[in-house]
Amino acid sequence: MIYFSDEALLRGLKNRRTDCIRQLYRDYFPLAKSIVERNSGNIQDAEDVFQDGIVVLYEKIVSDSVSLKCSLKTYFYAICKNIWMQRLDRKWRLLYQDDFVSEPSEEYDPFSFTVHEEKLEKKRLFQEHFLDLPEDCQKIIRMYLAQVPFREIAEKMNFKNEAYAKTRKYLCKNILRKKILTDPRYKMFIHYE
Amino acid sequence: MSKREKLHEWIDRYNNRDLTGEELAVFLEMMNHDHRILEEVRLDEELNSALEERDILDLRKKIRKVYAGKQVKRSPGTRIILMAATLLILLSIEGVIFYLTHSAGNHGSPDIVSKKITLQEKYGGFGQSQWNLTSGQKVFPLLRSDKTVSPGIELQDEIISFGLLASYQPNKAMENLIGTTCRSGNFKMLKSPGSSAFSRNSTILFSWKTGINEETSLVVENNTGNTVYESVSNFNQSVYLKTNFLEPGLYYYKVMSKDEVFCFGKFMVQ
Repeated sequence: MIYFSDEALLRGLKNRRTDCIRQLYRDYFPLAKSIVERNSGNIQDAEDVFQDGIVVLYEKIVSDSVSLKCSLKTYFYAICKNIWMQRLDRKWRLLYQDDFVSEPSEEYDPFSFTVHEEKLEKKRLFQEHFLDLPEDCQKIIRMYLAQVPFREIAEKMNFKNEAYAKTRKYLCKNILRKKILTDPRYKMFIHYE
Repeated sequence: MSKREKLHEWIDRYNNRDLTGEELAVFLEMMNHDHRILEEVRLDEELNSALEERDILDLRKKIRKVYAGKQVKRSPGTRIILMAATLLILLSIEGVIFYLTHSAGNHGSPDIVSKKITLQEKYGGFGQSQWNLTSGQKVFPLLRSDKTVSPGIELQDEIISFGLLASYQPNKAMENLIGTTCRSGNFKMLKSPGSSAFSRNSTILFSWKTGINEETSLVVENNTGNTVYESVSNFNQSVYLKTNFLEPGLYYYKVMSKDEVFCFGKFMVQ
């Protein structure tokens, strides 16, 4: 089994290598789990925080904004803690709305991270539901967003005509929209706003 | 085109900055009067922006795969304790078998296997074939019969039952995945073992349809998560699996393509 150094892990994550993700999971997931479980969360929350943490780290690598002055493990720990503390705070505020919390609390920010926890969760929700769609629906929506003309979509997907491609795109997006709107996590966003 | 479809076409065009002139004015007026349209527009905009991140989607897909393949990891300390406990149990089993063999007295000192065969013959066994008489190999069944046996025999029965737990022990992580996605979208499992138990010389048929033309394969793992079989990835969408190379135990299977796991399930080999 290959063991990646911190630098190799960063390079590997930039290329979204599965073996690097596997090592990150093996070595760093217990960190996310301990942060979450010590602060009123469960294993599902830990998996969400770990996933969001990887996405934040990936975005930072891609935008060249990772400057490691400590080990990657410490850095990742700080990202996860930042995410979970903000999330916990948001959930408490949501639960008790105007009862006793009046001012937004400061975000936990030991490394001056800018992590928009709420945006992260919303994006994860959208992307997870998208990945749950049937493969052909994913393809149609992907092509539509890449501005592939409907005529070409119809050809590539073996649809009889352009109009049918349009209808299929509408149906696929509608399935996605319904999945999101009926997800209790999305309802929390609506109420919060 | 339905009314709703038309509305969504307008939302798409509005978010693509494609709606102009009179159409745009009408649409803005509609948004002002109906906040639900405004919410739909917002959702659509956010959704498009999230789905345009193809690299993040690919990353999430890979993280999901890692989650799906995860197993219950044990720390080195726990592993040492478990190994020590296993050793202790094995020694105890040997001790009890030694005691039973030697306390039989009137048969002199027969070897352990022949002693067990004698008991098997005498009391009718605990289930299907317990012992392979030609090789002397133990074949542990899952079920015990309701036959009443003497206390000495019951003790040995307990020991044997204990011995088979390890390879039949359910894997919690895999158990949680069973049944998920098997009927999602266009995927459908047409023929599966359906949690059945098979003998070691059976052939199991797995058959599925994905609805789209892509290469798929069948992967079988044992209860510790080690892959014991993987079919060649092709367009066939069916696999005949011979069980003769599988040790008795609990197995998990998954039907997957290059990018996606479609279905999880399990079966047993006795």
